[in-house]
Amino acid sequence: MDDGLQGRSNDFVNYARVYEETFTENIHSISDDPPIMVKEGKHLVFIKTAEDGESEDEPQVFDVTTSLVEGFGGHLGAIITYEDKSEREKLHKNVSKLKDLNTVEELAASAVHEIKNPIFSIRGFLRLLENSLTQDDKRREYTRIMIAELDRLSKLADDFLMLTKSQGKKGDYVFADRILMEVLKFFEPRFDLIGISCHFETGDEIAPVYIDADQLKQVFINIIQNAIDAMPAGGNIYVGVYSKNKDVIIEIKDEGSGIKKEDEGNIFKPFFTTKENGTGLGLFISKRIIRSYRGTIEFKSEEGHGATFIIKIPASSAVVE
Amino acid sequence: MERCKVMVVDDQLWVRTMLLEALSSSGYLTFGAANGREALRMMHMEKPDIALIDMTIPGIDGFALLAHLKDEKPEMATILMSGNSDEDCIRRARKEGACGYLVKPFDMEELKSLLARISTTLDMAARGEVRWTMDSREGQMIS
Repeated sequence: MDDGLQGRSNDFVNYARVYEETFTENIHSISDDPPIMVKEGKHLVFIKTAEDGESEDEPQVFDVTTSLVEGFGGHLGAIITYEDKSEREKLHKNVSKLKDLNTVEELAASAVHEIKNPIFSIRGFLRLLENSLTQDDKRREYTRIMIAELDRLSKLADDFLMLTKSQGKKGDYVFADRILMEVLKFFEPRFDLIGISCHFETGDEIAPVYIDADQLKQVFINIIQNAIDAMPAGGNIYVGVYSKNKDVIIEIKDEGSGIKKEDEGNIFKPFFTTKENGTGLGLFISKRIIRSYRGTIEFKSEEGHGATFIIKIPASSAVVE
Repeated sequence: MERCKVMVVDDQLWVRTMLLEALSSSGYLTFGAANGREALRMMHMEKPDIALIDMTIPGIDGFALLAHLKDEKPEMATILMSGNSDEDCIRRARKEGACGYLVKPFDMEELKSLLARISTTLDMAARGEVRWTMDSREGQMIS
């Protein structure tokens, strides 16, 4: 494709010149009176329909072919074909954009890797330093704070990486209840440690949903982690999964401190946190993930009386083994 | 086992130094390698019991090094470490014979308790109480 043609205005003088430049291979006369000459060839022609040329409208792209029709010992005529390639061109551009996006994702992954290495070595040396202090040394408090801050930095890097991942693009037919069970198993030791009882309830037949399993897992981890953080003295967490109409609904309810009225409008905003070591990205990421698979995430809460998060994901009709 | 010998493979100088310091202060014999090639060379000289390998080392990566070690010294225990907590990666590590996978930044206590469990198993293997090669423990991590 000759990029030099792109962006030319559609006035006829220029258009004719484009024609002259591109169809120069074979010249045939198809009529003597009036004399008509046809040049044989094939080329892509870009036609910008916007008048000012500054508009963001995509130019229309045509594949123009001329061919001669011969017979009775002479030329009968010419067929000029304009094939509209605009859609294909648009698709091609979208694919390139997607490739760029993957590069951003890869770049972010290596940047996070580079950030985590020094965090890891600093954290380890701090532990060694801490071990050299006596149990009643007040400086232990400093190392404790430094380690907690490093952990926050590391979590921030992980959350940031999650944000760069393309969402809604790839997925699989998965069962939300199975993923939830895995996540609860992962949290079991922590539940035991804090004194949290987790009650899991699931409907009879849970429809599959189309989503990226790892990302759904991340959503569950974020919400359950919040529930744990809201109940430092222990309590109950109720988790339920059921199918209703054309949705799969997941409810996660805790008995923690609840969400303050004034915070209600902010909890899904990036970098909003009420936790000492929070990154403020957990719920923001969760909402982005669920929305990208056409689902919703809502909450009900009363300060001092816990919070319930309700996730709805469209059920998939696909057959899953 | 008298004293367990651990090989630390990580290209990041300060990460390697920190891990070597932390492990030797906990009573382990240690030595380090900055890449896969060096690790293979050192392994023949030092004969470690356990290898702690970073996944993203220059040249041959963690998985490739694991495959080499499996061929050359199947009785050695290996732990992979990475900043990546991707499930597929962890599953693959398990499948290929690693007996632990630690996500950086992990706490030294976590590493030490994993090493303690591994060295107990290695002791039992030395006494013939369990069978221990990278193949025999396929699919099961100690952690």
